[in-house]
Amino acid sequence: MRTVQKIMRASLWVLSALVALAVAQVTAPSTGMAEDFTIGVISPMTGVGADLGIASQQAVEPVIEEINRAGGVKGMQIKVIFRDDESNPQKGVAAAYELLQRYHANIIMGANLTNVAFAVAPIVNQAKVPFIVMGTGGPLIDPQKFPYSFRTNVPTDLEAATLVNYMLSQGVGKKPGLMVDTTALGQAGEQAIRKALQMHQMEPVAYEAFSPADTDLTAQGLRLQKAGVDVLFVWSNGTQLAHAARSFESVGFNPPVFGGFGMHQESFINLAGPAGNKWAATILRAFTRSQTEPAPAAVKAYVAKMKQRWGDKLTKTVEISALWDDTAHLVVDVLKRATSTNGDALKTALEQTKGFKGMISTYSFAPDKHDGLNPADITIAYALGVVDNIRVRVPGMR
Amino acid sequence: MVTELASLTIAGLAIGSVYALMALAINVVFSARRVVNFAQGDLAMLAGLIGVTLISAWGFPYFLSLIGTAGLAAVIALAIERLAVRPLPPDETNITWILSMVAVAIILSNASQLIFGTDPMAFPSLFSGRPIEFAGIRAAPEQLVAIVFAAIFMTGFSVIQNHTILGKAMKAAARDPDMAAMVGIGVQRYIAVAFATAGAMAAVTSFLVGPMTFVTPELGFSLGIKGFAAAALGGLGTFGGAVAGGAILGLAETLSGAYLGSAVRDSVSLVILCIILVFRPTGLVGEVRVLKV
Repeated sequence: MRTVQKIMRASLWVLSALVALAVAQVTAPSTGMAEDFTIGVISPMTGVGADLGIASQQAVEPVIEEINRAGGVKGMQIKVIFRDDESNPQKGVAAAYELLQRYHANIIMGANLTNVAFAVAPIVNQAKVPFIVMGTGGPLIDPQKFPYSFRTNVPTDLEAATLVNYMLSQGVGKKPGLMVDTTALGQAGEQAIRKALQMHQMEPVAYEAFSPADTDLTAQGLRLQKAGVDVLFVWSNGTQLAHAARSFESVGFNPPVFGGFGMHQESFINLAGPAGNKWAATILRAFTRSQTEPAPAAVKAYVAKMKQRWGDKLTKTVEISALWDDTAHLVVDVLKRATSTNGDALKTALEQTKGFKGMISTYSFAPDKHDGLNPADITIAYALGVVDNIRVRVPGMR
Repeated sequence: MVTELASLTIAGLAIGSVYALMALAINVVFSARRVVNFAQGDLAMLAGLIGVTLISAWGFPYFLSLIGTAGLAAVIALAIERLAVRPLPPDETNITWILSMVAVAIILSNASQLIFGTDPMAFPSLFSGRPIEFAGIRAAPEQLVAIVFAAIFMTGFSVIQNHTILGKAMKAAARDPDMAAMVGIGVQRYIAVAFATAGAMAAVTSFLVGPMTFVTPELGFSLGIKGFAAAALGGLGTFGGAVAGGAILGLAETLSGAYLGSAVRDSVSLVILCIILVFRPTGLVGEVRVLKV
């Protein structure tokens, strides 16, 4: 009996020591004496968000190679470590711990999917490491709750306001419906659309939710149709939205449909078919063109450069690559300005960013403003309207 | 309300027909070898990925691709029988074949991910996306085709099982292989035929379900589970039961999803399965055996 107690006590000591070590590793600030500067990237290389992860890798690798070839920053070489979150929050958490504990990442970027970003944000913030989040969900950026989180991507609230304003200004419909998935992304979209409609004293005339595992959304389509919905707002990822488009087509429900950034995923483009013709979503204005005017020369040049580098493997969501390209350059700029490589110094340098010029936007942050994009950076484009990797805006949007 | 219910019923019967085809294939193998082919769902998924590659990537005509995929799936099913079923020693507890079939399912799933990747693929359809409308009731052409195919296969298998030498020999081989061999039935040959048939059916199923759901490596698991549930609900080894089980599951899933919400659709169909099996352990039309003591 006494032996068992001794073993138990010894095990508890070992366990406590291991926990203490793990906590110390996560929370210990970096010394600022690192030989290399390590960027950890958490991205979905597989699963529903795979195209976003591939776009991130295709953008970040060439930027960092170029910087390192030119001698790095302040004598430091920049190391980038990609980890696949498999479009799964649990895998995202494991990736975050690995990047923080094993690789002592100085800064973390990514978590493109909002549900993954929500899982990762508390861990990276607890470690006091800056986290440039790509998930669009509005509440991901809150300088009080997540002081180390910043975003260069589109916030959901801004997307929703853009979509609702377009609906009203163009008279697209009078009876809006709302359909979202049951994940954190869908919930963030629902809140944002409801808020944007309420600003104009409107409510959705019908509301539907669906699980990400649903492949048949016939019932939702029939009910929305029955409620007389003449314009529909949707919030989910590309594959789920493609299921919705195909299900709606099977019951002849074919209103104009507007959604968030997820609709521009490669999976929607590949899977929706003609059913997605009237589906449009928010997009980064810099990477769009009108029906008649050509795309800006700088955008065409970037697409050509990426095509040269990646050939047939180039992602169809090249605007996401451009966003990551901007973000990688922003990190390099921050590193140049930061007084050291520890989390607080990098955070301060990020908050002092004013007018950093990228392809997508001119980014500015402040202690109380951790979202970098501006309303003017967003427009609306057809999900299937892609000409030479550049999106075509809906009529009436510039 | 009535037209909505009718449209949903067609959607439910269509997805139920897919489950029924899975259950029919499971029953074909069960009728010949008394094992449940848990790899049937993954075989259908693999067939779907092969089919979509043949049509979309390599440009083969639709029906030629269907025939080619069915042939290839039959060969894979024969290999499964030869490598993962035939060598198994007799086992009263059934554990060896259950483990073996689950292992095959996992191997097929992993192989598919390695070969075809994890992205969903759009399966080409023979029809335009426009629904067929009659008296306000709308249905996609793919849905109606799935229902017709399930009915044809059920009728065909029932006729073969009950009215042909092949069907009777298969039944005999499953019930008592030694006795069947003694009366001159080539037991292994009939078992092989059953597996090959199940393989070809996996291809047909994938061509029917593909346009409705897209094809991904994850499709195999859900198809396999639903197919087994439909077979158990109807009664293992009974072809009419497979179709009834598939239809009940499909309808329960679609109607509960529509009226109770997406979150409960799978639970409702599986609760129905449990309730029916409590009162009818051999399934809806499964044969009840009286044990004389």
